[in-house]
Amino acid sequence: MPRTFRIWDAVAVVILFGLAVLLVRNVLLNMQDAGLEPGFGFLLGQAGFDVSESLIPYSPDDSYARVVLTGLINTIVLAGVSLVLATVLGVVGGLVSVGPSPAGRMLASGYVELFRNLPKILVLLIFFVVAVNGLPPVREAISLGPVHISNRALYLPTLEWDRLLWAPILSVLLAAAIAIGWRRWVLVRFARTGQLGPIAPVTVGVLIGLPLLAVVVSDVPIIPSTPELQGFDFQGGVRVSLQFAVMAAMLGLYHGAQITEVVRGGIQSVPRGQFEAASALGLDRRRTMRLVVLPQVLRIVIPPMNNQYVNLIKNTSVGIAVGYSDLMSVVGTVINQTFRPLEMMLVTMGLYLLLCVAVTSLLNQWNATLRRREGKP
Amino acid sequence: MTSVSAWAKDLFATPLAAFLTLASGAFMAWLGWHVLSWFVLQAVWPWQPAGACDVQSGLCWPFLVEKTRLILFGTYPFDLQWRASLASLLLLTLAVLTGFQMIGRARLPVLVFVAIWMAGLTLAVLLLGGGALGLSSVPSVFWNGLPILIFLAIAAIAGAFPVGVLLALARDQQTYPILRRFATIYIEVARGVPMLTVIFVGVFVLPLMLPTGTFIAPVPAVLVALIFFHGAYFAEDLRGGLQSLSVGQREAASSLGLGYWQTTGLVRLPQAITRSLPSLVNSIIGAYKDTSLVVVVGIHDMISTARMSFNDPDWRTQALEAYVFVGLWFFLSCAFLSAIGRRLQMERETDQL
Amino acid sequence: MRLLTFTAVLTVTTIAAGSALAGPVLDEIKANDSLICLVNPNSPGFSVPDSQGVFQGFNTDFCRMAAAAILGDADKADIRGIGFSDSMKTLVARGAHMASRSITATGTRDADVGMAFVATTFYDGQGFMVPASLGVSSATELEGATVCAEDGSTTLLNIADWFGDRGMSYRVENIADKTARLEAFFTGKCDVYASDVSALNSDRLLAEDPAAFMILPEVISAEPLTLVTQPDQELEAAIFWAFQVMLNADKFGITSENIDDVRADLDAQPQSVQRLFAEDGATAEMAAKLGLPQDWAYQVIGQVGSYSEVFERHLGSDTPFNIVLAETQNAPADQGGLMYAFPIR
Repeated sequence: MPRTFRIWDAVAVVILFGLAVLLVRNVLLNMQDAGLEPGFGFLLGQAGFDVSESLIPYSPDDSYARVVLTGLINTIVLAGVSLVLATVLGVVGGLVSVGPSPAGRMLASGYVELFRNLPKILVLLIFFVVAVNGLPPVREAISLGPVHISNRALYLPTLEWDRLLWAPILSVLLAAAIAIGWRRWVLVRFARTGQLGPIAPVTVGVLIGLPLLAVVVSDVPIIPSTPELQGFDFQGGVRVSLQFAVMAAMLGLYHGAQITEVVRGGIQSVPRGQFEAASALGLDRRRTMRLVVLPQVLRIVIPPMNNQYVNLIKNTSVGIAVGYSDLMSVVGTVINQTFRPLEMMLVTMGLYLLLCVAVTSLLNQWNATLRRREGKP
Repeated sequence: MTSVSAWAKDLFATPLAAFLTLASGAFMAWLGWHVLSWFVLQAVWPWQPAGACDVQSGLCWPFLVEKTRLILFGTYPFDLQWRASLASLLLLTLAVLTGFQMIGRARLPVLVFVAIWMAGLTLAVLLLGGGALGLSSVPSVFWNGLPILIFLAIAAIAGAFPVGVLLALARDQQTYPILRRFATIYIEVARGVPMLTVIFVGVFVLPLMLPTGTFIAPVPAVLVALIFFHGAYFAEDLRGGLQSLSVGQREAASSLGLGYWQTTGLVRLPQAITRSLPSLVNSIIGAYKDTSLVVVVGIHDMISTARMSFNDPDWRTQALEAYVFVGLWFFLSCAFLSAIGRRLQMERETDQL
Repeated sequence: MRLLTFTAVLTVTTIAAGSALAGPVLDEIKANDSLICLVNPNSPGFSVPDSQGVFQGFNTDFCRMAAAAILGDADKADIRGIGFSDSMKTLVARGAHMASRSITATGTRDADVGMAFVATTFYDGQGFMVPASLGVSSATELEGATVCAEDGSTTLLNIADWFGDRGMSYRVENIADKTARLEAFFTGKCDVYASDVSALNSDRLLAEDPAAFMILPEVISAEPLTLVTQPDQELEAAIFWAFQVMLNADKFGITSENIDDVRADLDAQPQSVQRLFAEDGATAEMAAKLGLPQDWAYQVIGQVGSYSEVFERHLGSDTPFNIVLAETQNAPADQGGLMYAFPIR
């Protein structure tokens, strides 16, 4: 029943336009009354407060814009690490939960139920309290050579930056490219001639040999920076703060539980016939999984994984409770100081949206590639 | 017997399985010992003096005896707490009834069901807030603890459902492209931002959008924000259900002479809702658990009243008891919801076979 | 501060629109026979609900003081726990009559419409707490330390200023959740805990061994914590003088315990005491002008107590906080403190 006049379109436009005009008018009036100009100029003002950790140089003298950037970077790093962790946990959990071991199955389902039924803020608080109590204070840090663990942070040695370090970094990238190229070439030749060349030895060789060569040839001064206890804290090296570790663990376990369910559902949705056909071809259980089941599962689970990843990115915002200076925490302080809730919320929501859209479209693209490879539209 | 022995054999079928069995057995034993010791061996029983809690490391029952009402109802006027309990009970009954309706244990006609919901919510608000029928008025700042948690969760879910239905229908149809685009943009934006930002918008930005001079208390402000937030999630779940319907359904309905609203209301929507129930339940669990985040804008839900309970100078070392109490509540209520979700999932899987 | 300007202006229009109907705030309190007073929902010693969900604490007693003075019954205070910025909004939007929740009086805040700062009930300042085992006796030795502070608070700004002014480096742990923040400090994740000195005193007691933690002598900011009301000259006068009655009672050693004896034998008391409680005394005269109960001064002392009594009851030696009034700035002026009792005549 196609109608010529799209009345609901018109209604939607009128209502939304009217509502928008009304709301914007109210906001502007309210702000005008309070003597506030809507705008983002305040972002250049001096922030005046410090954050718990920052990957870019930051001091309280810097601008609000810079502190927001600091928070954003912290959010991205946390989300990245937790994504990997959750995926690994979820895949392992999913495999165990359909595996042959009854104990494993019970463990997996206990894990899923536990995290499915508790609010994440509670889980986070419990983790944090257990971690600060369980780990030693910084003066009694557990030291494993140059690595130190305390309830404040994990301290790792690192290399003093030098411009010449570019050589080994570039060589690692080059080695990776060569390894990938070699693998592809071997596979192509295999498809054509049926002759299989060595993949693993060449890959390992290139990946180790080339950087080593680069270091020797370019004569890079390798100056390690090791953390040393000085005054109140360890100096030197890099530190991974406890709140970061706790947040990553919480997000990893929390979403790992949900990904376990996704993976389990994916594996179970692969028809039984596939398993039978694979074993008829003489494939053992592991190969059946790797060559037959997982590729199919991958395609099934990408859409729900997409959801999980987006949720995980958004859930990084509960870090505020335990003192991880993420985007949300920083924005809360900025709002308290400037009373610019409207502008700051627009910025924050925009940034989170951007992150989520970026991850979603990456996964969608991958999904499309997989479908194309399988010859599906 | 054979199945038991087969199961026992499976436990040690392969080295990996044996390892898992031993590892999980050891872990369970360790966990069980700690739980037993905290709940029983080291516990201070209700009849023991409260002072014993400072000496023994286990569960302090005197604390729970003293503070359970505070954790459940916060600063709700003490002699009116029967109203808050009644309201909570009413809302819980509503939730359980809905669960049974979903899995087909209760079979109420849709209209009756909707009417029960409306009546239940109205009555709950009346009980909590008073101000009519001779009940003294209790402002929403006093609705603390359990009642505000269930009220916000249930009212937000109830309000978000119609919003979700409308959004899903708008996004699913082809006739009105502009409407569809609006719905799509709204859903994607709402799903791409954290709930904390949405709560902040409710508390800080919503008042700005109201006509100059009006004041909106945090509870209604947050409720509005939650409704529009969860609505987008429900819309996506429902859209999945709508998309899984075959085109034939629509064609059959329209060949019977049914218009769009009749086709949708009588034929497509009921089926789509049934099909999307498992994912809807998942969203509902998420919505319910996330309600505890309102604590950041100063609404005193159970996590907040739990904090009040151990900030009393006389009971300051009982934080763990308070959090375990709240944790158990969440665990049990979510387990009920998950059980419903699993049941629905199983039904759907058997339907598909 | 912006927040306050903003909310203030937001509601000016309401006030203007409503002023034809609403009488002065004091009349409204009397008409409702109830005084709405906002407190911090969770501040041990100052205002925290007891097991019945009834707020108890130092700040709470000033709500009760106002209700006793205006309505003759301290229990007619409708005490509501509400977060900081919401309490400001509520007050300015006329959703409450007064707030007793440790609000620091500042010039810009007082210049805002919609709020009146009336009487300072507690002189506070921001300080630092450290474990005694740290071996630090002054905040100037804190170069490179890790400081725990509440996320989003002005404490963060004060710390940044203080360390910045001295060119000292530090690391901040801005933890929003109080349980997590305190656990972090008690377990040594942070070296230092920064907050208002009064809060430090009460938070210290949450440690398993409070004696293991000490408060450093430096106070890095001035925080006069003050009662705030809706602007209304008569209400402000009533609350200000009710507070002065409590200070005067201390001056003459009058408490809720002995007030009845004092009243029974009023002629034997000094003139100043007679003025306080006599049926034709200064307070009775004020009552007639402000429309308060004739014996309001008696009601305040009888139902709530003198200032030191309130302090002792909630923060003193019998409480876990164990603060000695005479050692704080809140001691009476004649003992070197800042609490100066205005003469009532």
